Amino acid sequence: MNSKNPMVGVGLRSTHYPELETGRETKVDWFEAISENYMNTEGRPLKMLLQVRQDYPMALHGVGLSIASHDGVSPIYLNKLKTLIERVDPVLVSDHFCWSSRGGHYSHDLLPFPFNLETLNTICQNVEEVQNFLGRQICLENISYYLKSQNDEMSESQLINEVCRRTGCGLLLDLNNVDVNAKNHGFQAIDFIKEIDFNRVKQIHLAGPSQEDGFIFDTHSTPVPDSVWELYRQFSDLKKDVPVIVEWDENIPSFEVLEDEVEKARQIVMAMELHL
Amino acid sequence: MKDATLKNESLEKWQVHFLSYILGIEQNFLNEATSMNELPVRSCADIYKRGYKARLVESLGETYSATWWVLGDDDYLKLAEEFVASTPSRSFDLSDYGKEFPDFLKSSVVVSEIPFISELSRFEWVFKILFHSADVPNKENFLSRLSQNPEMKLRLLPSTILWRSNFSIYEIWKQRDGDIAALNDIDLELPEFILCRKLEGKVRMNYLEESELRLLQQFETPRSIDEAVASYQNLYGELTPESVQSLFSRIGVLGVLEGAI
Repeated sequence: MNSKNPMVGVGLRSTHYPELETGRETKVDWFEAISENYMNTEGRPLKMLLQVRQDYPMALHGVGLSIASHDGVSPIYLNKLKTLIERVDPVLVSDHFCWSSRGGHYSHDLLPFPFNLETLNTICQNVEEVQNFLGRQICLENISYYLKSQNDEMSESQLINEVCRRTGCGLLLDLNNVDVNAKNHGFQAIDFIKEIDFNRVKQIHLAGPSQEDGFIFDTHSTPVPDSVWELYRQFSDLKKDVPVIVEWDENIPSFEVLEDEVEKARQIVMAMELHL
Repeated sequence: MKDATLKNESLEKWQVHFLSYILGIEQNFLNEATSMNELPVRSCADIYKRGYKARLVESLGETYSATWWVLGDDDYLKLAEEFVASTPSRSFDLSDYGKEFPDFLKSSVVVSEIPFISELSRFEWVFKILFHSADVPNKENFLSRLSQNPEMKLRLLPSTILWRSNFSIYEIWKQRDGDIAALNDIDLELPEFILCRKLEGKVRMNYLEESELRLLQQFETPRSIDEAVASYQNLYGELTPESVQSLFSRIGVLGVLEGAI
């Protein structure tokens, strides 16, 4: 990655395969693929991923590692992830600060956990196991959550900072999730950002939420809202040169619309550079 | 950081209760969580419960799009929700969900109205498996090599599935993006024998005669020609030398048998 011009990219989605297959030039510097969409297939999805990888740097972003699982991380899952990593040679490998499975049952969701010492120890143990097995650093993303545990002993940012410090893993800072949580749980998003150890941030996610009954949901279904762009500006004041991905997962628009979002992010990066 | 009292097993309890709530097994989780702002805890927990159901129903719909098309929205959604409620996900891969859906449909009342519906969904599962399977190139006609080694064992290529049904499932499936009235033009109860395979990146279908499908089935485990013919005759009756030759000529050109090492 060019350290002077951080890469701005988008999530790779099957909706855009036909367009990407044409090999046309894009305004995108890099892509991020959802790991699970390619771990169990030898078919067209994998072929497309490898084709796009020939032209662009690629990150692998998982939703099923279940790093906070009390059961530990599934060895079957890890083996498949390692095989995919060997095929794709990604620039970053990430998943989420969450759990999603237990006892062989899968929720297919990013579930929150108690912010306490027991969870902290469990996550650290699991991260170390994963990083040792994969032989590389992973990054974990802060999630949006719609409830919390009564057994919290620390703040979310304290837990994240401590996991990163103890294990050496990176933080994938999802600014939309910070914004969603701030609005739903009633805190200042910028306070959270100032609390996290921004030197651990290896990547940023931008996305647009939806609203229902006065609450905000992390649906990745709309353009990045002004509040998230503002958070991105504020974060860029604290730390520069962090690669960015714009995510869009529902009501996915044309690739050109995503490119417009990429250009907006690039403008912010360039403005920060001029400001220096 | 507050006083970090180690609450042993609080994480396991949280996860057991949370997942049980999502799966609709029990409600204990509601006593352990706090909600967003003024909302009741149940409303917040139900966001996850609804999300789980919606994701699995959507994933089933992607795998079983023709089944959905035939059933219509109301019946499909009702059956899919019943299936999700009775069948938890056992794989990290969402697209792996729903293998048991054809059997679920077979035991549902809808079969009395649409007798082919379970078969149609079984076909869609076959298609999904082949879609995600590796591409296997056509093999040369094995007959040319048999004269050098008549005892050579042959087997069906991977990424190949032999499909048989008492209904015209493939014909129905091909209409899935069109008007449901198209079903009126199909002889639904015409038995179907098809070679389904992955070739050049696409899932391809070749219609077969029943005897061709039966003979190909003998190569699902590695066998020599003589062993396959003996096995066939044992199951389906005597074949004349002429019909053996005719059958092998026809399946030879399909390019789906390879030498088994």
